[in-house]
Amino acid sequence: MNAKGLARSVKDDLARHWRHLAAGGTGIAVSVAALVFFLSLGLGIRDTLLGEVFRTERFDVLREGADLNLLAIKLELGKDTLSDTDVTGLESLDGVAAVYPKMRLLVPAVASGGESILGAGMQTELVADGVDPALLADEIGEPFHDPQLDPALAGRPCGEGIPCADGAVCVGASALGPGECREVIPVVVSNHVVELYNGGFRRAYRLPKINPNALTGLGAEVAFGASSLRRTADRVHRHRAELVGTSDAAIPLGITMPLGFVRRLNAELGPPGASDGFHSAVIELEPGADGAAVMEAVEALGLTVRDDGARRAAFLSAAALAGVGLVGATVLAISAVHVMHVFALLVMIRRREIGVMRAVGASRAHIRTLILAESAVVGLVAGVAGLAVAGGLTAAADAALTARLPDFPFKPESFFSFEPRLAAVALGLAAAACVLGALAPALRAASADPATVIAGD
Amino acid sequence: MDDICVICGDSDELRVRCGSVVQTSARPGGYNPRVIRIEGLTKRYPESERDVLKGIDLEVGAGDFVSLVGRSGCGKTTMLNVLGGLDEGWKGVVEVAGQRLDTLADRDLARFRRRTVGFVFQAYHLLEHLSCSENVALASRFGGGGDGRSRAREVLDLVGLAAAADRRPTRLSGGERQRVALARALFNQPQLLLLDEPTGNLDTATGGEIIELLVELHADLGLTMLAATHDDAIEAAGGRRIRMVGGTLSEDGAQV
Repeated sequence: MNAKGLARSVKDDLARHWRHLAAGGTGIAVSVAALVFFLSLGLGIRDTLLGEVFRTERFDVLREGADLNLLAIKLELGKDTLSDTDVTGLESLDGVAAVYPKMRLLVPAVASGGESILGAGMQTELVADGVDPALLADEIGEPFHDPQLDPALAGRPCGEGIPCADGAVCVGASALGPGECREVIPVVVSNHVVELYNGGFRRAYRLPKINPNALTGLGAEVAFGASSLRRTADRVHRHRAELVGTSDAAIPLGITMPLGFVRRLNAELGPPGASDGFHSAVIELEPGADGAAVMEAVEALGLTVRDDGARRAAFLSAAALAGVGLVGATVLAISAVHVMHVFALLVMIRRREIGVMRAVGASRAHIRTLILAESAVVGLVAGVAGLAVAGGLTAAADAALTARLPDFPFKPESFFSFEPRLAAVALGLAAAACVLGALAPALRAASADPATVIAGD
Repeated sequence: MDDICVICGDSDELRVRCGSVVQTSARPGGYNPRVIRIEGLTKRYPESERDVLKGIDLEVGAGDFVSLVGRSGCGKTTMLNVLGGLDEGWKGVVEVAGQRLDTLADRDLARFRRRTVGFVFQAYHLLEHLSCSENVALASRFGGGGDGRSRAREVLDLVGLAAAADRRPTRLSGGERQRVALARALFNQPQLLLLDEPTGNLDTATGGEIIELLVELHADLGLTMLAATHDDAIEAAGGRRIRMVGGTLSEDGAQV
């Protein structure tokens, strides 16, 4: 059958039987709409789970040291840190794009400030760690860098009329005496910290709610080596810390600083060996790398992968998607049966017409092709209609969910992921369901003997 | 618009008709003038206990106008269906225009119906959702290239219905519908025209007009025609009369 003839015949037949075909296609459209709606919801939630809550393209690696429980105290046996050699070993694994070591600040610290945004000064003990600035290069970029000041300039006295060199600020100057020139430390906090603050903390202390997008530039004075809880060493480094952004890669509770700075502080003010080991490292996988295989290789090095539920989340989201897909496929299959009934009816109605076509030169293959092409067009049109309905529903549901649901940790900007690939698959499934539904009627129509059909008219 | 030429003829001569001009010439040597050859054709319907065609032998030459007569149920339509490649499940040898029908696969049989034979049914069997020209050109949808509109208008003109090209068959009289059906049968310049009671649904006057048209087409185009009929006028118009009785054939009272 030539393409032009097929197109003309399909167009004629669709125009004549559109009511029947619309009835058959409606089920397919509804099925596609439901399938796309729930799959895009599932994909959206999966993206949030795996991309934000449990990141699988990056995962943490640490060394678990053996502990001995002595009543309420755990006695540490063996080291629980990663060495530079461990980091090099991790970098050499197949599928690993980069390794970003993290180091805890092993020096007590007290931060004070916040008047500009909170209306009152606050002082708090500080938990901090250091990460490789490259880890936050995409999120924060250049502002998060190691602010290594020339050692000759660092610690110089400063104050009224005694400025510091470029890149340094005067810290601790007062009427009682001069301050010290110190570098400004870029700091990143976790989104979780902001959510915790805006959730209960600010209410307990009657503080204003803060806008996380406006926090950049917020500064505080930090005294490293000092503590309000216990006596500390005599040496205290005072610095100015400025918030340069928020990131989920930051320590969940505390501040995150550039690794080099933390390492120098640990070396200078911390206990012996404080700057030798990393408490963990973030492994970034190459695109398309087998995460499970890399995890196995990491474990073979005697290290531990901090799962954080990522594997379970991945499995659960995959299972949920498969479940939604199965339900959608079942509904599509039921719709395909409906399509089969519609086409069986149409073939019966068009029995004489098909006989005439055969008499003037249509082969069985022509008849099969004609009916299956009609069903494919019905499927595609129904699929497009279903996609349009699904698009409207997802937009409406997304707007409602985003507006009505209160803020919560990892609340996504959109609950749905309406991917072009999903739309293409849905269209293909719609056409396939219609073609499959019409297959039996098409075969029956094609097998009819034209002489018998015409004689029976 | 260029005329499409039709080549036909009989055992003695070839006729070429281009538009209204007909040229005649002697046949070249070695040409087989036989359009139909049937040997031992037997057909029994699955639900039947007797053969509807009983070992029929027949030969029809190119350009013959043969009328096939006989009582209802004697097998005339079945024989036309076999010759037109519409029927299956028969035994014997059936050769039309040099093609052995029992050897043709479905696709080849479809091409045979499209190109070699034209079929006119008693009940017209026009598709009501298509215009007359679309009905006429229906075969072009299944092969041959082009949309066939110009050819459809040409054959509609041949049967005197050029003005009805864009009308639906439902708006035509019975005689006009049969003319459209005839135009559809002539669309692909067939070598054999099979007519199954072409005047069976028409009154005498209208039937007479169709017969006149058939006679004219036969004379002008030299078409080989086989018409199953009860109509005495067609019998009279045909140059050769074959009678079918109980699934067997006789010509002028004798077995062919």
